[in-house]
Amino acid sequence: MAGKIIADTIETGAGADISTSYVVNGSAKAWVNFNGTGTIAARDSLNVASLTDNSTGDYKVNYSNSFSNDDYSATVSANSSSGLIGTLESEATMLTGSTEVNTYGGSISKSDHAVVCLQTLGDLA
Amino acid sequence: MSEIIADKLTGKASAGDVTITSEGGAVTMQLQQGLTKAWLNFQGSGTVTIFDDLNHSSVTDSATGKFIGNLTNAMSNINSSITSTTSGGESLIGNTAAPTTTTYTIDNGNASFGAYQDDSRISTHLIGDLA
Repeated sequence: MAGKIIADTIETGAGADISTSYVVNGSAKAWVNFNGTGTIAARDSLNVASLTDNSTGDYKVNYSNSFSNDDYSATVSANSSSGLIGTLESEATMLTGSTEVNTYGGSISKSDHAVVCLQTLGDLA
Repeated sequence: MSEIIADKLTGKASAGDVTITSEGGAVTMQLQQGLTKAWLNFQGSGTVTIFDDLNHSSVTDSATGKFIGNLTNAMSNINSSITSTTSGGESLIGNTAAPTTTTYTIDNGNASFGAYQDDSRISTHLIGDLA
């Protein structure tokens, strides 16, 4: 049987204490590193059920466990030898169960990227 | 109020698996998987200086707008999720070279990424599996 501890504070042996709310609220609730070219595929992830390839440079990350609201903080990065950056598509596509991201090329038009990373912090349902 | 005083958290059923309950109480998730394993805020202009960090031994200034983050404790693979943001133009991860378990490249450019440039503040986050 697994052990269970219910506590408000965690303290190190050195005396530095931190509220457990920082541990729970400060942990990323979802993250993914995926290949956004060809048949898109996650290399590694947490709490990501699937990826949807909407169109060139336009992806949707679908979560296994949903967030309790759509006010989470999400960051995106992408790589490309001629590319720009990854961005969140819009506020409207930041949903409790998924987040859409866009990646752009050097001409500031959407393009697929070999490495796309998303990190999402917030409250799970 | 209850309090735990400890130097180390280890899962009981599985050493690398400590579970936390979600804010809403509906699900649980693995604590280790969600923790940021390395983060960095550094000055990328002039003499490169780390303002603050977690799990970085140093930052290498490779060339204008090109840096390498060097990790103290290695990751178990090269598939970590890494994001970066800069105070100036745009910042890319893994553009110059693919990451290794102990290093990752940070490429910093102007707003249209037409040229590399140094910026005064560059931040990175790395989440994945430690070795």
